[in-house]
This record gives sequence, C-alpha cells and structure tokens, in this order.
Amino acid sequence: MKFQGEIFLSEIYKKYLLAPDGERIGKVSDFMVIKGDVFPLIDGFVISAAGKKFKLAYDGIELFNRRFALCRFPANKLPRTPVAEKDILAVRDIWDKQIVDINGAKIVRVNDIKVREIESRLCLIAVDVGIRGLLRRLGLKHNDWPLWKTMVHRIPYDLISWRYIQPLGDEITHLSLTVSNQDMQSLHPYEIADLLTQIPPDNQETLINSLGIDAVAEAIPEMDEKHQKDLVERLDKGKAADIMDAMSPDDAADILGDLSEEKAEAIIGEMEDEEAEDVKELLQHEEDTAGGLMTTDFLAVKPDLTVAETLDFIRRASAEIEHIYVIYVLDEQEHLLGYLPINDLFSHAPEVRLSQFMNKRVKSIRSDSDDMEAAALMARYNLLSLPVVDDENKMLGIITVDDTLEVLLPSLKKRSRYKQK
Amino acid sequence: MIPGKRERGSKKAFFTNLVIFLSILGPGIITGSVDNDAGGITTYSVAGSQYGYRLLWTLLPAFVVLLVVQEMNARMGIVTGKGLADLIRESFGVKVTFFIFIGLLIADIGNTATEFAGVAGSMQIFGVSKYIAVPLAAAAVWILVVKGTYKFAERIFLIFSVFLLSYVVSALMSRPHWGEIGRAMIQPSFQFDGEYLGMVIGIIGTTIAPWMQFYMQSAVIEKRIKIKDYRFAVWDVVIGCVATVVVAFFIIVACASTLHEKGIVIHEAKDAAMALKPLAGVFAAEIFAFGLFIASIFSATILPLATAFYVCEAFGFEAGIDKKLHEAPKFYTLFTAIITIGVVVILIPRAPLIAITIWTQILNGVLLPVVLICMMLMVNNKKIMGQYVNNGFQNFVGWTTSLILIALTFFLILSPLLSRFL
Repeated sequence: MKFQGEIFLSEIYKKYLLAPDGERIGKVSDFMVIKGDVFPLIDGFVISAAGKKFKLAYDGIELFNRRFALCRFPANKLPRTPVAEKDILAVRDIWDKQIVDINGAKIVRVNDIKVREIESRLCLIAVDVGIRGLLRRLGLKHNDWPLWKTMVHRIPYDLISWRYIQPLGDEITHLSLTVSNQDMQSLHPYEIADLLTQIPPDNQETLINSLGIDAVAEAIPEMDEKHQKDLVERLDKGKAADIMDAMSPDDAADILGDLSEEKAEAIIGEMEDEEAEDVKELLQHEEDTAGGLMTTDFLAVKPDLTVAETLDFIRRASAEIEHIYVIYVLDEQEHLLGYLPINDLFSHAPEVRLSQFMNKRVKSIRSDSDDMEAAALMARYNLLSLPVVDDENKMLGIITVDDTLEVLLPSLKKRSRYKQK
Repeated sequence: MIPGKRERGSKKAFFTNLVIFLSILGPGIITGSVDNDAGGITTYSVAGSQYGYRLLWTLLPAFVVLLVVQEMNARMGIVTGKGLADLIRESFGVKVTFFIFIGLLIADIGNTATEFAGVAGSMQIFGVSKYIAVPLAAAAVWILVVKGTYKFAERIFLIFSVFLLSYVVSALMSRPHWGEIGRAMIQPSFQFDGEYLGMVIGIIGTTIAPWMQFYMQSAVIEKRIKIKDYRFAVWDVVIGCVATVVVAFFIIVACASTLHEKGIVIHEAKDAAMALKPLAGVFAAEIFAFGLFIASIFSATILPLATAFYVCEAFGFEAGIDKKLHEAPKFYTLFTAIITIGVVVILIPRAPLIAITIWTQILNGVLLPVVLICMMLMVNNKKIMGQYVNNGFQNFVGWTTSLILIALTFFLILSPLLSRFL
C-alpha cells in the first residue's frame, strides 16, 4: 500500500519525487490514466526533471503523500519512458474540461480529481466540481487565517462519483464505462436536449455516439429549431438517417424540412424505405397547416374485424406506434368511416365486429386547413387525436394533442445556450 | 418543406447571400455599439473639448486594432464553438483563469458603476434626480434580463444601436469645420506630453475593452455560425467596427466644434450636454443626453450579465437566464450583486466617480494585454484551431497590437506615478 485513504490529485501535483536516499529527482507534473474495471486507474506519474518529462510506472513508487512521493529506484537507475502522444493525462486532459453530471443532468467543469488506492491500484473515484476544488487548485485552501478557515469550512463538498460522469472530450471518452452510458439513457429526452444545446459541436458528436440512436431520436425534437438544424447538418448522412428512422415521422419531417434541399434529400436517400416514404409524404404539407402538424403513425383497421382481432393487432403494433388510444376504421380505399376509443374495445365481447359499435360521427380536418383551427377543434371536442383527411375524405394521418401544445404555446419550446444576454 | 429546385442566377445568389448575411448580422454590431458606452462617450467628449480635432487620427489605428481583435474572436467562436472563458480555462488552467476573472469582475463592477453614472448624468439634463433615475433604470435592466428572452433583448439592442446615430445629428447641428477635420485626419499631430498621450491611450483603451472579447465570441456561438459563412461574420464585424468609430468620430467632432472653440473644458459626458445648450441649442443638448442615456442603459444591461456568465462559464457553475433561480444560484447572485454594487456606488453622495473611472480604465488596461496574449497563443494553436490558425499577416497585426497595447498600458500606469515624482 502506497497510500491510505483518499487524496486529491492537486495535493500531489507539483510535489517532489524523492529517491530512496532522499535526493530530489523532479516534480510530479501529471498522472497517466488508463481504463479500469470499475474506475479508471492511475498507471503512473509523469515526472518533470530538468526540463524533461518522463513516465514513472505506479509500481515504481514506494509511497506518496501530501508532501512528497518516494521512488523505489535511485536517480541513476530510474527507468525513464517518454510520454507518448496518445497517453491520457489527468492534468492535461481531464482537469478543467467539461463533463456531464448524469445525476444532476447538467454540464460541469472538473476542478479536481479524487483518487483512492483499491487493491493496490490507484483509482479515480470522483471529480470535484465545486468551489472547494477551485480553492485547492489555487492553493488557497490551507491557510491558517482563522476567519478564512471558518469560511472554507462552510463551503459544501461538490463531488461526483466517476460512475455518474459522462465525458465529453475525446480523450476521456476512452476511459468511459458502459455503466455510465446506461445511466445516460435514463435521462429524460428533455434533459438530453438541454445538455446537447449547451456543448460545442465536437462534443455533441461524442455525446450522441455514447447515447445511442434511440435516445438521440427522442431528444432532438425537444431542441429548438436552430440547434436541431445545426446538429443534424453536422452529422454525416448515414448517422442522420439512422436517427430519423428512429424518430416519429412528423418530427423527422419537421427537422428535414428546415434543412437545405440537398442535405435533406441525401438523408432521406439513406433512410429505410418505409420511413422515407412517410417523411416524403409529410414534407409535402405546408408547415403551419394541419398536414404539417400531423404524424402518419396511427392505428387503422377494417370495419369487419372483430374486437379480439383488433386487440391482437394493437398488441403487435404498439411497439411501432406511439398513440394507441384511438383506433380509426377505414374502408378498402382508406376512406375514414369511424373511430373507436380503446376503452370501447374492452367493453365489448371479443367476437363482436367493429362496424356494429364504432362511432360514425367522426370529427376530422382537411390537411390544408390552418393548424390553429385543428387545435381549436381538438379543444372544443376534447379530442386526444384528430384525423387528417384529403379532399376525398381519405385518411392521411392524425394530429395528437401534444403536438397542438406546441402550436398554442410556441414559446415553451425554446432552449438555447446563450439566451441570457 | 423542401423548396423546388432554384436556378442559380447571379441575382438569386445575391439575395441568398443577403439573407444569410442578415441572419448572421448582430454580434459584431451589438458589440460595436456596447463599445461606445458611458465611459467611451466621456472619453471622446473630453478629448474633443480639450484637443479639438487634433485627436481624430487616433480613431484610425483604433479601428484597425478593433477589427483584428474581433475577427480573431469571431473565428475562434466559429471554429471551436467554445466561449473565450472556456478556452482560456481549458488551455491555461485554473490560476491564469482565476486572476483574469477576478480582474474582470472588479473592472466590470467599476464599468457598471460608470454606466449608471451615465444614466444619472443624462437624466440630470432632463431634470430627473439620480435618486429616481438610477434605481428605476437598474430595475428595468434587471427585469429585461431576468424576465425577457434573448431574442427580445437582441431586438431591443439592435434598435438601441440605431439610436446611437443621434450623435451624428448632434455633431451636424454644431456646424463643424470640415476642412480642418480633413486635415486633422490626414496629418496626425503628436504632442509628447503626459496628458496628450494619456488621452490617446484613453481613446484606444476605451474602444477595446477586455470584456468585449468575451461577449463577442459568445454572441458568435449563440448564432451558430458555420465556417462556410465565415465571410459574412467578418462583414458583421467590419460593420460593427465602422459603427463604433463613426459614432466616436461624431462625438469628438460635436465637442470639438463647440466646446473646444469656446475654450470650455469638461470632465464628464453630461458636462458636454450642458455646455452644448447655449452653443448648439437645447435640442442638440437633449439629443446628446439622450444618446448618453441609451448607451448607458445598453451597456448596463449587457455588462453585468456578460460578466456573471463568463465567470460561471470559466468555473463550471450553472448559468443562463433560462435557468431558474434555484438552478443557477451563483449566476443570479453574481448578476444581481454587480448591478447592486454599481447602483449603490453611484447613489453615495460625493462618490469618487472620477477615481473609479480611472482605476477601472487602468484595470482594463492591465487585463487587455493578458487576454490578448492568451488569444494570440490559442488562435495559433493547431490543436484548438486546426487549419484556421492565424496567417502571417494576422499574426503580424495581432502581435504588433498586443505589444503596442502593452507599451501604452505601461505608460498609462506609470505616467501618474512619474508625474508625481518628476
């Protein structure tokens, strides 16, 4: 055991490395970090001596504390490996960089790193993102002035366990663990959107890669238009197409509609055929019409189906379709005949056919009508979803109640980074 | 909607470019306008009243320096997508960042105080007591920032920028001598005494305040400008710099052709407005005061906000007015504290305003070379800027500017000491 308990890297940084005979070899100027099983590990210290830097493996250290580090070798027998370009160094690559605090769902900056020896390996267990860390880095913490001591004492610790960190920079990403990515998935799409708008484009890509397609597909529609456009334009078309495929078609169409023609076509070209078809259809409607607001994901059945068959169909379709509360009944030519709230299905015997009890007085709206009109209609008739039809009463899609909220309260859907100025 | 295929005629291309340009417009122009704040107007007025047209030539080098510095900020913002505070923290560590930001914080509290002094002075011309005007203005600023949105604020600021042209009206009403102005611009007159050089430093220093670099870069990022639209961002910077220098030019001209000719020497911007009354009429004086008021409010809004934001950005605290009070407590505390201290300082009877202004300027002067050197090092770092590092010409102008500013700053700090001992 070279060190007992926990210590911050700033407390070892710039301390002397001593040879067994007490000779000063150099100063500890950085720490090499590698991936570990649970936590990243410190694999060695970087020592600066006489203007030169070299690595000293962790095994080569006898012990260290807040005043010095003691080396196993005398100065002339010290193995001096030069620092390689691809090495990850705690001071250079992790200190002062931005990371995501997954629990708080916010972007923070690493002020210091806490380490602890576990099974004779030195682990990075937490990062300090608080004022205490700043003061420690500035060398202001250990001051004997009594008033200062009391003040510092009152500052709360602001440590985040390494498990709840999502790195943003390329270097630290190599140290990241699958555990943290799963925690990232548990964030609400709104929170992910908020994070994405706060970080520089390069880091956005890192974050997107570690989040996975589905989480990103849910988060992007929550961003404001400017950031959506900016983000999707920077992605390569294959990646963008994968994300669009996973998104609901109305959201995908909204985003693609804001892009340049070339870029949008390139992305649609890479999408799955079925999704691409839906999106192309939706793109033909003007933005502020009922058609521009609708989605093509809805449940449609034939009138001669039984209740049991319909329930079975819903069970199978529910993985793909978000809105299953209302089922629409269409004829062979897709003309809208009637609708059924899902609770009606449960109150009828399994063998009854839909045509016997469906609601025929169905409210619908033409695709070229104003979107405000659609919202008003839904408010007046208390509808969860409103079918959109063409001029021959053929059903094209539905408008869901959450989409109308964006029409009625557009100011709620704005999140941008430097909004405060 | 995907629009139908467009034919790319030259006229169409022109309009496409115009639309892109208009959407990018803003950061440079707003920064340029905030530049002519209460402190700036004071410096220009005093310079005009004391030296007439003789200091007009300083605006040319000031323009070049402003342009070079802001172009670098725009480029760094576009390429990295990171704020200047972010970049400094990541490249130079905690200590450098800490000292820059402690300096910036103190300087900006002083700056904010001078903005509120501008509010007080200009409202005095209209017969409103400062004990009413300053608290009201502070409340308005606070509400605009905390309750408003960025888009709304930006629109208001762009309108504010137009109002600054009122100085052109003031200047034209003062019947300037264009011939003399032309001569003064072409043949710079040097005078090697402390006061004259101090004024030169004052003019250049007030045109390039350190906090503006931070503001400019963040504003560019907020616009999400891409590198392919870089040339439009440069035009925005150019227009902003031209606007700054043009407004400064007309303030100097207005004061030179009235106050200087009658031998009236002033110490504050509001003195200029007062003195204009008998010389150029009540209307000219009121326009001058109105311009001062707008400029002061404008900067009193942006300064505390920007400062609070950069400090939080550098140290990783939650920031932004879209956050709630309990989500970003440090940000709101800082913002409110800067405004409150600024207001309180102004409302203390017989507050040493001139001393505050001078010390703030000196602090700005010390910070500027530090920030500039950090910028020059980062803008030449391939790891940060990739292929968009400075070219030889940009480096020449950048380093020359830094060196001249360092020399000037040394002189500015040392000259009061020297004059005391010599």
